[in-house]
Formats: sequence, structure tokens, C-alpha cells
Amino acid sequence: MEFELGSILKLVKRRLLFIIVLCIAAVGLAGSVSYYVLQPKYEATASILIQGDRQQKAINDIMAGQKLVTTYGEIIRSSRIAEEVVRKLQLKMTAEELLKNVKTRTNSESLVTTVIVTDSKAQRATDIANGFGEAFNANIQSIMGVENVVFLDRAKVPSDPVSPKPVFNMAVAFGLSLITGIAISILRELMEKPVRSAKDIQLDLQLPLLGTVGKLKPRKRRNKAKTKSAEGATSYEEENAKIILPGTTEVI
Amino acid sequence: MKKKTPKLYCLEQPKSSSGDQFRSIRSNIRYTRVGGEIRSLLVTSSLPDEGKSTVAINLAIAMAEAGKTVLLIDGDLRTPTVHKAFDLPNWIGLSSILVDHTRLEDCIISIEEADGLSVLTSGPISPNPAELLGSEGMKRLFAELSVRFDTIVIDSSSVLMPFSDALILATMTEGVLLVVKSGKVLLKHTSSAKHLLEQQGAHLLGAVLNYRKKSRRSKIRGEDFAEWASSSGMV
Repeated sequence: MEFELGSILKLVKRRLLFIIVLCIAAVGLAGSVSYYVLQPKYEATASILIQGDRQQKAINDIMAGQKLVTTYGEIIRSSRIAEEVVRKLQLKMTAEELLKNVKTRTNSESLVTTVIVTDSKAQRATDIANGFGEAFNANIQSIMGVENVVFLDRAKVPSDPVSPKPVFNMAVAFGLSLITGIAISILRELMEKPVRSAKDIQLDLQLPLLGTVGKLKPRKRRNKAKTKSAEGATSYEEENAKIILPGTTEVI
Repeated sequence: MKKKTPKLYCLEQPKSSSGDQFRSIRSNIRYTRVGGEIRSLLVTSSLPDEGKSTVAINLAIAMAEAGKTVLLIDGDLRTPTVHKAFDLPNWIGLSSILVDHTRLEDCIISIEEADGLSVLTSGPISPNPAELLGSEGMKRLFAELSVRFDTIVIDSSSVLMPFSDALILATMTEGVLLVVKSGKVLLKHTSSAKHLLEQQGAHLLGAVLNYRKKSRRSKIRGEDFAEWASSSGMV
């Protein structure tokens, strides 16, 4: 059985109901899972600008400041800051657990550090992001001796969750179920057995076989080919025998 | 779709293996029934183009060779082919007997090459074959023909068609032969054809596997011999 585009289209047409049901089921499942089962997650971001010393505005300072940005990012994610946030916001988790949901993003081109917090509640994510900013602000002087920390953007309460994305999930489910449906249809088509032998008729159909009619011409041609090859083989053997014979006399 | 003209293996190559194959089918049919021979036989298949006409024609020739008077009826009133195989005119035939009451003697043609074989072609293609075949006139005609000939072989249209021509004919004949084209027809088609025929109360004699290719594996295993032995009634 050959599968060209046309035959696949025909196949899809024939099994359209099955494929549609599969797609609806998959999309429904993906939708209900992402709407009702999965906990939504919200993301809040706060950005902090660290300027270094304001009196020295040399370019070198900015260069050093850029390098420091990475350091600040790590300081924000330190447990000292995290513990303070937990204490201040009275969160029911340890500093380590909190840090799992906190990321910092630094850019080598700028001095801005961004704190990204994901949480199941929008308000809490915002509070944590701002809490990190404030705790960092309060602690940075005792750690690094820098004063010029500016809260560039306070975190805003996010309106839409970042995950799950129901529409995206449903689209993926639709695509996957479509492919699976077509694959199953093709497999089922391949599994379908054409009647080929006497055994098929006698065992599967439970019909007595009254006889078989074969093709005439191909068989004749095949016989001819066989005799030719047989002749070839014998002449080859004869040649071999001629070669071997003198050798054997020498051995004797 | 142009239908191929069936080949008369039994007439043109009487000593060929194909001729022998039809003769062995003939003798197998003889032994399918305990009390007496099958006197009317319908040749059909699940789908079109499985070689019904070829089997029907050659079987009829093989039966005539056995010394019987055989009538071959082209019961396929939609795509008739029997007249093409024997190179006969088809302006009168089965349909004209049923519709215009053409005389039987004018329509039944005896074939010179095959002694004892007569052919009734389909006649002009009619718009309502199922009605014609199911009519009282057809029953009467069939009864009359059964008296005149030892054996009647009917070539019919395929079973899995939206029309019931083959099933109507199957109820009239004593036995039904299902032609199965090897490697092309799916098992589900053949089995649903079988169930349809059985539902109509037709007596399914058996199947003929057509266009069979020899597989190398079966040669090595000797399945060929087993098949031949079982098909010729040895096992």
C-alpha cells in the first residue's frame, strides 16, 4: 500500500469522525487541566539601579559598576536578604524555598538589576519582589558601603498569570492529537489485511477453497530465468573444476 | 473505467496450467455437494474487477468439456463483458428477453469452439437491472433454462455494490462461487460479502483465489504443494 498525499487525504476523510473526536477530547483535556487543575503562576518584576559613588563620575567607575551589577544580583539572591523578606512579609516558607521562585536578571550593558518573582498569587508575587528590593536597599550599605541604590520600578500587581497558558496548551494539544489521529488512521489502514493466500480464505473467511488461478506469463518468464541461471552455475562449476584438476594432480 | 476483456484460457490454451486450474475448480465444485451435482452456479466477488467474468467463462468452458450442456448467462447487466470475450453481438440478450419478450432461441448462442456451451449475453444495458433480475419473468425464465441445460453458470456483478443484483441472483442459484483477487481485496470486504450472501440464504460453495502470486517463502516451505493438494481434494 503506498501513501501519497492524496491517499492520506482520502484516509483522513474516511476517519474524520475519529480524528475530530480525538482532537476535541485532547483540546478539552488540555483546557480543563490548565484552567482547573494547574495552579496559575504570576510574575512580578522590580528593577533596581545601583549607581556607585555619585561624586566620582569617571568612566572607570561605570565599568566597575557594570561588573558590580552581577555581584548585586547575587547579593539579592543571598539567604540573608531572603530571610529578611520572609520575616518582613511573614511568609510560610523557608528562605531556600522562596529563592526557588526568585530570579535576577542583569545586563552587562547597563547598571539595572531586575528581580523577577513568580508566585501562585499575584499580590504576593508583587510583595515579594518589592520586599527583595527594600531588603536589598536596607542591607546594601552594610554589605558593600554603597548608598546610591535607586528603586527604578516598583513591582506592579500582574493581571494575567504567566503560566499555565490555556490557549497555548490547547493549541499544542490540538496539533499533537491531529498528528496522532492521522498516525493511528494510517496504522489501522496498514493493519488491514488483504486476502493473499489460501490460508486467509480457509482460516479467516471459513470458506472452502475451490481452486486458485495464477498468472500465466510471469511464471513462464521466471522459469526461463531460472534455467538460464542454472546453466550459468553449471558452466561456472565446470570452469572451476578445470582449474582445480591440474592442481590436484600436482598435490598427488 | 474500461473493463478488460476476459481471456478464454480454456479455449485458447487448453493444455496450459490455467486451463488445468479451471478444470480442477470444476471437479472441486462437483464434490462440494453430497446429493447430486450443483446445477446452477453464480460467480461473484466482493468488489468489481476481481476476475469474476474470467472465472465464470473458463469454468463454463471446463464444464462443457466434461460433457455437460452448459449455459453461461451474463448476469452483470451494468458492465457486461461475456459478449466481448466471445466476440458476440449484444443487441439482444437477457434484458431483451425480460423486457421485450424476445424469443429464447434468438438470444442463446451456442459456441462452436466449445462443444456443449451456450451463451446468453446480457442484452442492452437497462436502467433498472435489479428490478429485471428480481421479476417473476426472470424466475420463469430461469426455471425454463434449468430444464434445458445441465448446468447454468451466471456471471454477476459484485456483492459490495449499492445495488442488490448479485444477491438477487444468488437466491436463485444452487451455489455461489466467490472470486477473491489476491493481494488487493481486504479481508473485511470479502467477509462482509460472505455475510451478505449468507444473509440472503445463498449457498456459498467456496472461494476461488484469483491473480495468485507465488511467494518465494511458500515455495521453500512447500505450501504450494499443500495448497495444490488441498485444492485438488487430496487432503
